[in-house]
Amino acid sequence: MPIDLNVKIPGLEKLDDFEDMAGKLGITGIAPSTKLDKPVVVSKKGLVLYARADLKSKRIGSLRKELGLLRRHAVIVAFPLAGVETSNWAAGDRRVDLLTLGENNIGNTLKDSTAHMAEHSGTALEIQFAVILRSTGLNRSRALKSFRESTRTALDAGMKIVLSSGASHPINMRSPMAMTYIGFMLGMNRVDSRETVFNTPQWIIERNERKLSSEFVGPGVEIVKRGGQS
Amino acid sequence: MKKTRKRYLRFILHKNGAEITEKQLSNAIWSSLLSLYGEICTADSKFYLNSYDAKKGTGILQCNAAALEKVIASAVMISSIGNIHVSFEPRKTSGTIRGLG
Repeated sequence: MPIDLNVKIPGLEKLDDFEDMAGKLGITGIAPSTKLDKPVVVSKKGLVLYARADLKSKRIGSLRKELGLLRRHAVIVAFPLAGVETSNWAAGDRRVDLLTLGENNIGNTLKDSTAHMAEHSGTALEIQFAVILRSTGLNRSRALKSFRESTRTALDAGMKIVLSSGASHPINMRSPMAMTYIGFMLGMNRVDSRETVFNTPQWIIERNERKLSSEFVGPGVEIVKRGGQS
Repeated sequence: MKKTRKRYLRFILHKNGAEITEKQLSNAIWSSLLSLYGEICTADSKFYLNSYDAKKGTGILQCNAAALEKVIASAVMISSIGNIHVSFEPRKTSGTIRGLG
């Protein structure tokens, strides 16, 4: 089940176009940054929409508060890679799903220490490839440098990687098979590339749906039977 | 001279505007390959657009087996041809045209 974990739908009135394109490309779910009524919504055309929240605060204290408010309302919580201190905090917090690298933080790269912390907490590196579709020449080269270096660091540390489109227009979305070839271009092998497109997004979604269910208490602790039930 | 192995790719070109001609698509893939991987790789790729239906957006391209991943990545990276935005979707690769089904 290929899922695009970052689609920047300008407004819900444009959702139809994205649904049509996702259907053509064989994508079964998307995580739009637009606010949704519920964490998981199934559209009329059968596309599954997962609520996504991007942390915007700059300091750890305010990030903690923001995360506390958002976590129960979103299936995906992402933090854009920034300074070492905040990135390390996000990498070490199990409630953060993705460390994002996209057009707004192209100068940043993933540090070794951050990648190792993220590997322990199950946080994945998200690469939004819209920026390399839009740019050309030296700007694209800079973006590719940042993406390829971070990909190498993440793979060396055993950190999971997710490829997402970051598309603000339906035509900027790419099919799952096309995304695997973008993975090759970023330095992944066939197995890793397929993993980033087909398995890791699904794994994160399933993990978080379990966490959002009423039976979940904490990591490794779930209510399997309530008192009075046989 | 040792014969190089070929690979064929069946693809769909999604677009949000007027039809794109075979020549335009071929040039766009050549340019993208040249920009991403350089002149030597472009020369060695032996890329050729076998067939292309401009109305449906479907087609078959061929290239050197060693350059297949680079050719497809270059095609996937094309975001627009002229003023028309496009999304290149690779469907199936094979060593023979018949194998593409």
